[in-house]
Amino acid sequence: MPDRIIPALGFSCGALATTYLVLMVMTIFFATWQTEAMNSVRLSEGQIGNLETSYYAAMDHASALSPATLGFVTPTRIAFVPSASNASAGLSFAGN
Amino acid sequence: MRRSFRFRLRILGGVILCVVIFLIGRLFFIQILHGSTYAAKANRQYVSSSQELYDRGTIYFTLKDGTLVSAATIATGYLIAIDPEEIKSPEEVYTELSSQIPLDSAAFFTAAAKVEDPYEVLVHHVSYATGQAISALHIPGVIVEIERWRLYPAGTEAAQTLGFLAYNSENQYTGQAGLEESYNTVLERNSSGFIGNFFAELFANLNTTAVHPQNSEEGNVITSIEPLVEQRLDQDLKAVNDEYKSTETGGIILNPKTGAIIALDTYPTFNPNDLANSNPQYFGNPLVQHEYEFGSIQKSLTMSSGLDSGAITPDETYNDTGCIHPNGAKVCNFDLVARGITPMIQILDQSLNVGAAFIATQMGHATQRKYDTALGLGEKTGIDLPGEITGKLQNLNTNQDVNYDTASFGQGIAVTPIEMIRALAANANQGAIVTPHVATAIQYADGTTKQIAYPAPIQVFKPATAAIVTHMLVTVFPCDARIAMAADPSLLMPIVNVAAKTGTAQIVNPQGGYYSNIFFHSFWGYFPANDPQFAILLYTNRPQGVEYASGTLTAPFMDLTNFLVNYYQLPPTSTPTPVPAFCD
Repeated sequence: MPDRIIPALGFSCGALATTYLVLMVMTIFFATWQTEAMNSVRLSEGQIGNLETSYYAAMDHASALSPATLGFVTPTRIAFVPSASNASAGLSFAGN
Repeated sequence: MRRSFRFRLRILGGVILCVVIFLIGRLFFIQILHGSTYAAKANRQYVSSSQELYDRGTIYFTLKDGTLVSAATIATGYLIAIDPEEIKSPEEVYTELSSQIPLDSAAFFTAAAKVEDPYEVLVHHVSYATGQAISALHIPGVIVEIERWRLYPAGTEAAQTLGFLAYNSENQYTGQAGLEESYNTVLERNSSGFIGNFFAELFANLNTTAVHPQNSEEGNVITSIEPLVEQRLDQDLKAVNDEYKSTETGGIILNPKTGAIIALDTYPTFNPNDLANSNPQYFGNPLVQHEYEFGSIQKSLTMSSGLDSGAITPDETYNDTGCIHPNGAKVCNFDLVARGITPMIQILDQSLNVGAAFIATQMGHATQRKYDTALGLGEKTGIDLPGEITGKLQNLNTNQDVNYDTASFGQGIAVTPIEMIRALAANANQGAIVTPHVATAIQYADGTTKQIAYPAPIQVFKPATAAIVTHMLVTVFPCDARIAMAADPSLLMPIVNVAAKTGTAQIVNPQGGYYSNIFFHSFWGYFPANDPQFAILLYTNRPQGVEYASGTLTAPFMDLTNFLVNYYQLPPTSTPTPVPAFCD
């Protein structure tokens, strides 16, 4: 009985030590991957912020445009008719 | 022998078991509880950094289709610094750096001359691409560090509502105004504390070991502000303020049924991306922190109070003498003209102060005070913005008839714009006031979104009363609109029925009484009148060259109305309101 216990314990120690090393390597690998992913997310957030800044500037410019300067004139008469969806999805036609 | 051997084996087994538990626990603490701290440390291995990297939650605007657009976010880039001791040729370094980024030569050479200082910052907020390019040059003595900072992509839009970040008295970089302050605990990101003693952490702080309470509150703030509507409002406010050289022009667009604010701003304002060059005078939010005597837009509430209390009826008439003399004071119509026997509706159509005073007299002091209090005037609205003040209604705590008469047309009492719109919106919401608010939800890191609950609407008027007053206000708008369209043919009459009222109030003279030629203009309206979706309050303080609010604020109100009708595709009203005869 003691002959088997000592080798068993020795094997257990070796297995635990190996497991510990494997877990450490996995942790480091995971941490590296997580750091890269977080860095990528933050870079993307910054790029999104820059895009949104451009978006606001573009919308500001478009909103400030006067239709008259683009050649549009005030309509002389406006009429409204009910729409009818008798075409493919997304299209609707007035009347008919 | 055998028994002692077994005993030693058990001890050895126990020791191994303890070591296993220790290692597993250590892995748990390193990877799970302190993972973010190690990640932040590892992040700095990309380039060196001598300070904590900044992080904070995002504040979102919401487009009409529900898409979230950042109003306050975090930008990532670099800061460029130098170690003067390592720089052998400052001229060469300046030439190389200035080819990548704009550099002030005097500032650079002054910094480069400080050879005893190992760290001199040259430029902050350098773009990621430029920072990478400079880093790739490997210039000796040049330090390139990752930097993150707060970015407000919308610039000056809703700046006073969003707020800004600054150091407080405890040297903490926190929200100092607006939503940044109100929701600071949600937006701030605390780096987790690093406790070296595993056993101290395990046994001393068991309740915080598994879940840090602060982390569970962290999230992003979603607002109801629609960025394109906000932009349109800002353009109109600036145009009015510039044209009439006012001291301040402001506006609020609100959903009268829910209290959700779609747009709000004042002009002048500031750019939160450039605080150093902004005027601190404009850092506060006048919409919740300033009070004004709003003038005749109060008449719509006086009419509602009179009808709701039964003091007057819609078909009643009164004798308009042009001026009255309560308590020896003189209260007159704007034009001093007596109109004789006048129907109730004309009090709003022609904005008659004598008529409003008549309603106040019919109601009595207690009833008038009761309704003004029920409408929330003189108390905080509960809006989720810091620094809200209450209006001044002290005149309604006296027994002087003149105080109640003047209060009936919005003079002698002062309220904040947010108080005013909440009260006025009662007529747009079947007689119930709502809690105005900016934030609608919190978006947490785990992906869940929690809707923020606000108090239920409070019924002040009967729905029938609100409907009667709305019908009256609908007849007011076409007259003002026609005048504005005559001055600016590009203006179009909105295709929906609009309930509206203007207000022109005299401004208090600090030396007593009121100025005779300095005014506060206001414009209040909501539409579509049969089922209001939008309520707009505009004001401009001390405009020059125009006496009445109809001359300054009708045009921007119509512009905003037409914009909202088109943008939200509101269907046209089947029967447009005719222009009243008195407009001719």
